[in-house]
Amino acid sequence: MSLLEELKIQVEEGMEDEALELTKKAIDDGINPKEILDDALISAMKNLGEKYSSGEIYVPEMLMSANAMKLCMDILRPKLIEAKVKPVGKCVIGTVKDDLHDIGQNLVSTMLEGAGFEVYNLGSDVSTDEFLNSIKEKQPHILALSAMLTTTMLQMEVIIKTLKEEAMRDKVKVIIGGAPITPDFAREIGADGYGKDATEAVEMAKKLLSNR
Amino acid sequence: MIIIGELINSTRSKVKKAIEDKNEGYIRKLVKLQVEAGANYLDVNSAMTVKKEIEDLKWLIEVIQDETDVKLAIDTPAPEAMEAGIKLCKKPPLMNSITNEGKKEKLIKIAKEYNTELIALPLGSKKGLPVNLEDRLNEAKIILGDLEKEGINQDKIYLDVLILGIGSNPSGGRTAIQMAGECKKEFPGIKIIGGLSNISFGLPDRKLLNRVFLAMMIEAGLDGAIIDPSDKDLMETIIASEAITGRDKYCKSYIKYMRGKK
Repeated sequence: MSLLEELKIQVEEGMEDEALELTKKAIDDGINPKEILDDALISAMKNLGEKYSSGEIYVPEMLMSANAMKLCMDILRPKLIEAKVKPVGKCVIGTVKDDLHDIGQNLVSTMLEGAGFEVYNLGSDVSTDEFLNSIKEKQPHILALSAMLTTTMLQMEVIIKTLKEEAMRDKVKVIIGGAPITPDFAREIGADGYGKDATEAVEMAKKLLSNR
Repeated sequence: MIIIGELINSTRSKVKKAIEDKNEGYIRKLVKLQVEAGANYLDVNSAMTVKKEIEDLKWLIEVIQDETDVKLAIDTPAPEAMEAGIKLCKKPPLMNSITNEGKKEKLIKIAKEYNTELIALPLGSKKGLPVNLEDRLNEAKIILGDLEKEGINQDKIYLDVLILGIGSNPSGGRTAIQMAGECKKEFPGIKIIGGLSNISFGLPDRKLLNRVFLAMMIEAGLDGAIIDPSDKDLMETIIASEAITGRDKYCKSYIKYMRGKK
């Protein structure tokens, strides 16, 4: 088995230490960082996403793998920059105002990173102004919004309206998700996309990028 | 044990559809099912229909009250919807819920004006969910302090211990159990409750986890739970746990229940 195949398996199994060691080894062996990202990490997250969507694996397993991938990314990221590998896109992500839930949002954030995005995670309870400032500063392709409550999901509409008012709506694609969110709601408030889980969110983000 | 029946909640897709279709029959069925299973309160939530929340809440309350006298728990964080709902209730309902977030003052005012009971949720004074016991106890102290200042009687207050899923937070179960125990000691006059099924989110065989967790929470001092009362195994777990923890004198209720079952 090749080193990258082994790394992929360790990430899928959520083995943090092993995955980290193998990533270090791959870097030391001079394997192209882009290859490490594509063939091991992205490929592992893709498999996991499919397994999660089909109910084969559960939330803790998904989180374990996401954490393993995060650790690998931390040492791989500088190498990617050194090698001038461009991220596939930029994304600003956060949970909307008055909503304290961040588990789903963090998972999407890690998965996006694993898919090659440059991700700016603003955390939870993020105000409209904070989102707008971050968009101005980072100029992302994608704005990903999360809400876990039926009351806070209305904030998403406020954010989209404000983007329009500030003439920034066409600068960024907006994707939304979270327990109470439905495709109908996404359409109603004028979002560009919806993901029912982390995998769908990443797929949607990639799709929106390719439509540019 | 105080049972708050959780089934009439618009986050459940069938309920949402029934509200949209104004399907009284389905709502009435859920009322009967929960009341017959022993619910002391029926939770009512229409928040998923978003812009029609108040209108839908009113419709739900009227349908439910036509079917039963059991008290309602009005489930919304929006003060306007809360007040509109309370006004329609024949008996003062249970407000579900008040947190330390911005709407606290308005909601406390409503609780006083209509003399309702209320569920206090220990979160919202700081950014982020209070994951550890210390932060959570601190949130509880803040909200209970405010309620006391406003002259709300202890016997009207239910404190939700806040239950986070063990799937994403391994200490979620233990923290909730410790929180129930600590609150029982610190705030003896307050009833301790929790939304049980959160514990098992994202895991296989959720009902097993819910049952075992409920038994542990009862030992820790839980006074009430927001659950599906039509889950017979879960209700039996309550009866057995109350007998085991000495809350059921001479095991009277347990024996009576088992005899009735034969």
